[in-house]
Amino acid sequence: MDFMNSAFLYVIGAAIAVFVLAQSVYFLVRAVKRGRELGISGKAMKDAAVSSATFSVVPSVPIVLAMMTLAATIGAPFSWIRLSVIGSMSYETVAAGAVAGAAGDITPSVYAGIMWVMTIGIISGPVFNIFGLKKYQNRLALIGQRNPKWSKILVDALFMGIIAVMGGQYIAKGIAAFAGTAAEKYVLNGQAQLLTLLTGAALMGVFGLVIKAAKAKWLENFALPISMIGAVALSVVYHGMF
Amino acid sequence: MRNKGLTLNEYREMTHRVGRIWTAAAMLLIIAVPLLFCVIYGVAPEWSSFLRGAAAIVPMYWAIGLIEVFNYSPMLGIGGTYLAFVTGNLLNMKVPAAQVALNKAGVSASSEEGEVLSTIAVAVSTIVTDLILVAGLLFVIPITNWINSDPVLSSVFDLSSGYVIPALFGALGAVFLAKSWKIAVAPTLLMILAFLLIPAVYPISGILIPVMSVLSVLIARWMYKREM
Repeated sequence: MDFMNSAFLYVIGAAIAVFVLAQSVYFLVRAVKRGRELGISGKAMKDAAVSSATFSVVPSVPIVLAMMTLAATIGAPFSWIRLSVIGSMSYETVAAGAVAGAAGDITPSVYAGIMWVMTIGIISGPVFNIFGLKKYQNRLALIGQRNPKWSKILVDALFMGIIAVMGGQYIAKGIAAFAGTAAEKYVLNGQAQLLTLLTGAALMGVFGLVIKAAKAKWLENFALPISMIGAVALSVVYHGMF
Repeated sequence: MRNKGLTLNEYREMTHRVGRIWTAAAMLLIIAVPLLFCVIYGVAPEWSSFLRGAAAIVPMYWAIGLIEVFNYSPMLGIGGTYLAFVTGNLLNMKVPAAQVALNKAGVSASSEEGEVLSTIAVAVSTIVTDLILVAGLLFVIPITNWINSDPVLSSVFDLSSGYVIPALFGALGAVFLAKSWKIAVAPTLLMILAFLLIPAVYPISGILIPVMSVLSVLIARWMYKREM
């Protein structure tokens, strides 16, 4: 299986990592310049950067682990490539599984097929952006101009859809696991996941109160990552309880 | 506030232009991976497994990719959308990162200030993940062995039955519940009820996000009209 971990794939992986970094730096510099033009304070921009950087560390860990898991089936460099561009840990894992399952023994030719499927599978979002994003964003901008208050609620409500599905599923899973009303395969680790969710929320709530009471604005950047790390650390205890 | 530079529309126009160029370049680069592999190894893809694999995932992923643009782009702004859709991991990284930054500044992604701040947040988040992935690659073997050798660690970091995602959405949920609990209550209760009644939807919960986002917009609209 040397072809899966060939030098060629590492080289192109490095090229892609450099491309992604270059694109991010380009957009970052451009946004900061624009911010200065608009008179946005350096502090506000630095705040956005710091909060995003501190937030991003913890959710990166499962992505790295997904890369490692995938590396066993499709080789380290291609899983690195797949998770660096348009990667999504859940889709990639499913995709690699689906294709590898359909293939059996992995020869270079089968491997080429896997690479093509995984590549073609994930390009619809960016392809749409090239042709249709401008139209869509212009329409959104129009709503924003006509009715700024509703436009803000609209975006919050879209985000609430995510929170409702992701939060709601762990609450329901935990209730079902505690009550024993659903088949075990659906609610595996449900109790401990619910406790982890609640711990994350509670820690965040405590941070909110402390920040307010002590007027410690600087703590804001650390509230989310520390609440997440705290909840993940306690999940080890919860996991042992059930 | 502005004293020089482009007008709002000119800046948006420019962002679309550079966003398209970078996205097209990224597309060429990722298509080059399997293409060059085929050329260098002198193989054609094995068609039967290619077709079976493609039939299994391509239609669903294409639909999801399109829905994601509609769903997430209002939260990411223009520059943030082009960047985030090239680099991926939207639900678990880029969208929350942008929302946290915007929420702190108290602006929306569609405002001029929001456009700047969300682009900064998405760019920084991408740089962090990229560097962590490279570091991870260097330590793939020792770290994998360490995590796999410890049953507790491997369950904690498992993708579907692990604890990182509940921790993320617990903490994030608290922030947004405190901010706009009124529009959160109905969708969340609805979801809890749905999952309790039909446990078989757990494995496909990702598909429910766009459905729920539309429903939660409708509920919010209804409340907004009644000035609730």
